[in-house]
Parts: sequence; structure tokens; C-alpha cells
Amino acid sequence: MALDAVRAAADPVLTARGLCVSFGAAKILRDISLDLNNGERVALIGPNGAGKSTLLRALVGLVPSTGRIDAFGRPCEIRTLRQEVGFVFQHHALVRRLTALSNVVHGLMHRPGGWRAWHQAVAPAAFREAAMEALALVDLTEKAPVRVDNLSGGQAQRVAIARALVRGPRLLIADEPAASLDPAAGHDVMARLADTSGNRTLLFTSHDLDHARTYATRIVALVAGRVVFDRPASQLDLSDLRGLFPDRAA
Amino acid sequence: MTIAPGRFDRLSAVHFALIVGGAAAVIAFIAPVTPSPERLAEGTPRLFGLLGRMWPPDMEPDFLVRMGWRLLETLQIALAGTLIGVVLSLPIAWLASRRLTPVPAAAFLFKALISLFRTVPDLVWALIFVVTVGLGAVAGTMTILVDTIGFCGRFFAEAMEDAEEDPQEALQALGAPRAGVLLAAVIPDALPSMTGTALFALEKAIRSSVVLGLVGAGGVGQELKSAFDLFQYQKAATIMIAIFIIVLAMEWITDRLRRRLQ
Repeated sequence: MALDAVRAAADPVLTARGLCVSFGAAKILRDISLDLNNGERVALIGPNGAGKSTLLRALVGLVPSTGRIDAFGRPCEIRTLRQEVGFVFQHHALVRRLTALSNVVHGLMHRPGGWRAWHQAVAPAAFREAAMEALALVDLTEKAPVRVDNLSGGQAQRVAIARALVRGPRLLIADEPAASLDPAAGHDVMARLADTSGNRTLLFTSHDLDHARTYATRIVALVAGRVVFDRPASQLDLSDLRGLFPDRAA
Repeated sequence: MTIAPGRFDRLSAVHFALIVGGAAAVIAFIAPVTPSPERLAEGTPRLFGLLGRMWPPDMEPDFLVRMGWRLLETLQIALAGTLIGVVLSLPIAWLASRRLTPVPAAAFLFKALISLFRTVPDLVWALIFVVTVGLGAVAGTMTILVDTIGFCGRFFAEAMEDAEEDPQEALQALGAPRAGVLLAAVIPDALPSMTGTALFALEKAIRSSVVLGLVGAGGVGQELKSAFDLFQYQKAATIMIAIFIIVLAMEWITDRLRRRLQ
């Protein structure tokens, strides 16, 4: 489906307009405009230092930004937005000394009764059940009682996906989820992320063009803090990539 | 042949004069309180005389029972003060931690409070609490409690600040409240360091609680003071041996616990 047709039928999940981020004198993001619609799987690509991770963080208020962000058709209130978002970080960002189950239960801290979600042992029974269901989605139920520091990198990243999914988020954001993994584990993590995202919107960054083309329906390229193209993955041309990754697109 | 550079940098005359003058000033400053060879020569026979009067240690059953109760009270003071102090140190350390505190404007106040608790010596705290809550074990417990907050508060705050930041950021991104981030991400990561600190605090508390009795804050120190005041050196020897055994045993236990927790 052409991008315009998708946008016409759009049910906006997140809309950014004129988004800018600066760290001191360094301008990291310059006047970014981005629309994320319901059910889209969007890959954000670009060379190192393009501002991909910063953009993801700015969208959920982890770095200060200027500009306008609307979430679910309303002006964004960060606290509300965070409750609707599942975030998967590059190096899993799990609490290593806790079990997989405790880490997934953490994903429910925003819910009523969430003050008990700091450890699986004291969490409400419904939270534990939801966490086990999320672990089942990533085939890790048997690892529920295992500490994260005893899991492989791929397994830990799958636990991080389960922590994001347990919230039933409308928007799933993943920052280079496969970057620290070997190629096979990287594809496994990406496939699970794409499969389990279901009707949700998925926004992920990647250095791997193969991942972007395989798992995204739309590709947005960022160079030096600006969006340089935004088109359906099926219409991606190698010439588009030459400026971004000269060594890989040749 | 290649000649190696000189072993020491060449000193100018001014530098040499400053070093010699500085060394002379330090020696002159500490001389009045440094034991002279004459004083040491006079004191050594007295020391052996005292040791002779201490031997054999008093093993009278009534005295041993009384001392046993005092030792038990010493351990109670150390344990109660450390436990309450460790529990109170957790929120105080959180509030004092610059990166994690929910009230950044007041972080320096809590840091200053911890510094105050740490820098005033425990015997001074004991004197204050003897005046405020009266003679006895409660004053000792209060002293250990304050001392523990001064010790644990500082190291707990450092351990919390050193905790891995990625999981904290992840929980923030998921909408977790500050207290949730503390309980779910900061404390689990800082726990081994905090447990080690708490065990050191217990060891320190046992050593401190022994001497608190000297100023009337309960424990076996009171018994030791009476023994010296009444020239009952054999009783003093028994108490000192018992203290030595208790402190050694506690160090052995806390060392083993620390190794297990690592």
C-alpha cells in the first residue's frame, strides 16, 4: 500500500512536529517531523551519530526537547504516553541481579497496585500471571526463575521484549534491539519483536538494512539530525542508501 | 654508553630549605605529645607490673555471670543500634543521593546530616545521649544508631549512585515512579555493596559498644571501668579477654557472611 494511502486511513499514534534536541551547542535533532500510525512497523535508519537513539528517547521524554508531540490524537502528556509505550533498549537494560520474572513484572509498575511490582515475590497474582504470559510470547517461561545475569544476550533481550509487551502497549519502541547480538540471535529477536507487535505500532532503530527491509513496513532515514527520506520499505531503492551507508549500498 | 638520568630531580636551594624547614616544623609540632625514650623506659616496667597484677584473670562464677550479662547487653546495644541505623540509613541515603533524590534542593541537607553524624566521635554522642535519655543501655543504642547512620548513610548513598543506570532509565521510560525505580533497579544492584557496608557497621558497632560503658552508656565497658577504678586488675583482664574473643568471633562471622553474599 502506498504511504499516502496508509496516511489517509491513518489512526495517528504519535505525531512529532518541529522536534529539536540540543546538548549544549551541539544540535542533535533538527526540526524533525514524524507521524506514526496505528499498526505500522517503522524502521529508523541512519549512520552513527545521526540522532536515531536520541529521537526515540525524546519521543518518551527521556531527553529534553523542543517542538510538539501529540500522542493518540491529543497533545502529549509524557506520563500518560509512557503508560502506553513499551520500550526495548539496545543492551536489554534489565536488572541483572533479579530474575526474568521480576524484570517482566517491573513492566506493570504504572498499573494500580504497581507499587508492589518491584519484585515478583510481592507482586499481585494478576501481575505474575500477565508476566508469565508475556514470557510465553518470547518462549522463555522456563527461564522465569533464572537471574538475568545467567541468561544469554539473546535471551535477556527477549526478556526485555516481554517486559515491554506485558504492558499491552499501543506503541512499541526498540532502540537497536539486535545490535549487541550475533546475526542468528539478532534475527530471532527482530522476528519476535515483529511477530509479537501484532496490531501495535512498532518503531525501531537499526544499523542492519536487512533487518529494516525484512521487519519494517516503512523506513525513515535520519542523517545529521534530519529526516532525509520516509517511504514504504517495499519502495526502498539502493540509491537511497548510497548516501547513508556508502560501503554497504555499493 | 647511554647515561641514565639522575635518580632524583635536582632540588633548588629554596626547595631544599623549604623541605628541611617543613620537616623541622612538623617535628617541633608533634614533639610535646610523642613518647620520649625516657618515658618509654619508665613506663615499660610499669606495664609489666600491671600485666603481673592482671594475672591470673578472675574466674569467680558470680563475676563471670555478671560479666556475661553485661556482654549480652553489649551485643544487644550493637545489634539494636546497627539494625535501626541501617533501616534509617536507607531513606536518608536516598534523599542525600544527588542523582536519585526526589527532593534535589534538600539533598545537601541530608548529606550534611550524615556528615554531622559521622564526624562527631561516638563517645561524644554517648555523652549527649547519657544526658538526654539517662545512664544505661538505651543511651548506648542511640549512640550506635547515630554512628551507623553516619557510616552507612554515606556508603549507601555512594552505592546507590553507582548502581547501573540503564535499568533505571528503562523503568523511567515505562512510567515507573521514583520510589519504584529505587526499589526495583537501584537497591537490587547496590545490595551486595550495601550488605557489606552493613556488616562492617555491625563490626564497628561491637567495638564501639564495648567502650561506651566508660561514659555510662551501658554494656561491658561499665564493668571494665569499675574494675580499673577499684584496682581489680584480674577482673579487668577477664573482661578484656572476653571482649577480644567476642570481637574476633564477630569479625569471623561477618567475614564469612560477606564472602557468602559475594
